[in-house]
Amino acid sequence: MKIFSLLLFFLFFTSLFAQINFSGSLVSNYGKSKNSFNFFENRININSDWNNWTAWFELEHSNPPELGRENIGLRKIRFEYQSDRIGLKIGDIYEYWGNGLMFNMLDDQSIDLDTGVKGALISYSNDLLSFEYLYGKQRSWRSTIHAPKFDERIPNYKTNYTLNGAKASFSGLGASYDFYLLGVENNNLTQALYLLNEITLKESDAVLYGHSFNYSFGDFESDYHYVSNINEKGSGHNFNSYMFLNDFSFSLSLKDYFFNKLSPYDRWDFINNPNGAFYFQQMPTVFKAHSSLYLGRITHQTDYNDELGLSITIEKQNMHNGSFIFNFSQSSRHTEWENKLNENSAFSWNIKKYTKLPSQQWKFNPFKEIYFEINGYYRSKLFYQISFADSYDVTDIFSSIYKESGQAFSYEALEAKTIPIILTYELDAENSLNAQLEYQVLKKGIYSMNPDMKNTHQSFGSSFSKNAQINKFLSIGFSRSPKWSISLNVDNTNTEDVLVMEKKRNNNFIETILNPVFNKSLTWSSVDIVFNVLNSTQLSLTYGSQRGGVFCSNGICRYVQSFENGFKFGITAAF
Amino acid sequence: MHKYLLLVCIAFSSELLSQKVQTNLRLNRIDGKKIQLKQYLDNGPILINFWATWCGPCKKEMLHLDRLSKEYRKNNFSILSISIDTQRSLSEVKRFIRSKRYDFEVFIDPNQQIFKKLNGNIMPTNLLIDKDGQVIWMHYGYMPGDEIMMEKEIVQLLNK
Repeated sequence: MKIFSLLLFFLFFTSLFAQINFSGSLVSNYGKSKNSFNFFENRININSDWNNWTAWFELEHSNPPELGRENIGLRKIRFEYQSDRIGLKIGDIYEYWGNGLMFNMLDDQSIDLDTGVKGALISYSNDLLSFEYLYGKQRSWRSTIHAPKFDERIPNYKTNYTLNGAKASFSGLGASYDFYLLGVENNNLTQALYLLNEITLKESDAVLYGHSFNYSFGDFESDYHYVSNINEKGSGHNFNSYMFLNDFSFSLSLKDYFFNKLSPYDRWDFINNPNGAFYFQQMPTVFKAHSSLYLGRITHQTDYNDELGLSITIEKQNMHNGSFIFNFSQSSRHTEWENKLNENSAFSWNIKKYTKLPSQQWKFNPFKEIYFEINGYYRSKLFYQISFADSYDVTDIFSSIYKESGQAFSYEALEAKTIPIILTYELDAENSLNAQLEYQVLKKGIYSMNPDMKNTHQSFGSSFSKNAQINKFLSIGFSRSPKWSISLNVDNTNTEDVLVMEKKRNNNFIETILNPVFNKSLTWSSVDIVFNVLNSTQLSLTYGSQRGGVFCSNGICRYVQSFENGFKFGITAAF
Repeated sequence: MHKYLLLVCIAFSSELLSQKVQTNLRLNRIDGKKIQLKQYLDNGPILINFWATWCGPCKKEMLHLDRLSKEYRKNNFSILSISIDTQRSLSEVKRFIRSKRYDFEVFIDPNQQIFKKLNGNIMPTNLLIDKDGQVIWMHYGYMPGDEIMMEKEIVQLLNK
């Protein structure tokens, strides 16, 4: 009810104070499916300004939201003052320092990620230098299997920090330098067992400092960022450089993040290993972000505690208003771990080796991707984008024992070859046909070897019922500018990961019709209709099913359950 | 249900209210410089375009934005293109923009603060703003052909 009282309050003020400008937007999504993936999510953003002051409110009525915790009432609020030199922000603050190495505050509803701070930021700037001071509380909800009540849709663990930091920037002669200092008070409490009694431990605080250096000269640009955690002796480096020569562009990005040394067993357990990179340090991933459905599902999970890598991109413009793109990305951990017998005659993880360059050996959890793309317009009518990606990623290491007879090991890896194609044919000035086709061969499973066994060959156990998963996605659509568009989407596979598969499918009638061609137990199809009622009011309707799996947004991924035989209705409007 | 109907009513009344942008909004240009919106508005009307490197329709639309920028620059009209790519993929933005050599100026908004202030929700989002900061036209999404409507709105505004 509060949300509607606030709305009335807003409308009352609009009429009362004509000199105060108000604007806002509304996002409303409703979904109902046969596998109980139901949601009703509404958010209203209200912006107002008066002279140098602005106010931002976000109201939410989500019961339940598509992802995340239920929220009814005021979600965000911020007041800002901005003059030519001085700025002040009070409330929910979203900033980034040090290219994300120091902190990167994001609010991404599509993956339920919110690393914002509640506090205050004061800034002063002139043409040569600027200063910022930030103080605030950073509280985020995260999903983890290491805390009780794990749920795919609802995060179950809250992190709680107090941030207190300052930034100074100097610029001139095509270069700029930033210095950062940040105190992190860790307000998280860890429950631990001590002599059979459960005790609560306060986690350690930290002090971070860092630098950024940017330089540009003609067709050359580069930037370098460094952050160090003084208490933990951890650090992060990020370097980017670009060169532009006629129709060619070259870019090189490097990352070297080493904030904590965690064994393969502890690697993703941030509850029992709270030291290291903080959740609000959302650093550059240094690999190509894809918009392809299937490449998105196998996106590499960056380990901000221990990872080094590079990404090289070469792009050449072609005559068809398009380009040819080549990207090579590679990364690995700094550390190789091995299992050793300890004094209790049990195996424990120990560091065996370090590497200073990205390794391709499975022992260092390597990731590698080679990507080609060609895009452009054929006779100004047909837009084409044809890509190919070859990906390899060692996602988990289960054991690594060095014996006299050789090395015994077990690790999980995926290898994929993906071809995404996008075509748009403009029939006339208003009407166009769209097609998206994707084909992927995915081999994923556990590789293992025991040198003491008679057969000393490496064995492979697939994660699927077949040796390789073959995924095919087809989307065909028609759009009539500026009013509406419709598309039919079919996502088919030959076998599904047992962890992802719903126990029982609830096929819709499209899947039943397509059954002679596509096996309905392994096909998810839907129809999407988008209707622009007004220029800034869009309605969307989806009927059918959507396959579950990993969903990524800007390099951050999370598992999303499938949506079985239902409908989604959405309204997005600005007012 | 009645609450939902109220939301629907708000959505459909969207063009009844008029939006005005704060002219002292500070934008982060891709070269690191911070520039106030009024510096552009003092010169003439502007079109703000929100896009991202992972957004296919946005990239298709940019070709048309480039043409419109070249065509109407002589009428003191500017296009400001703001990327909402996060810091994680920001290096892609620099490379993409510099290699395409587009005519319009490019800004970054990695935490989507400007995007939210200007009520963006769908990619791409376009706002046509007159010299006084009044939003004349706003459009969500891009379908081939939308550029015709966009050009019509620009011409209408320039002829006022």
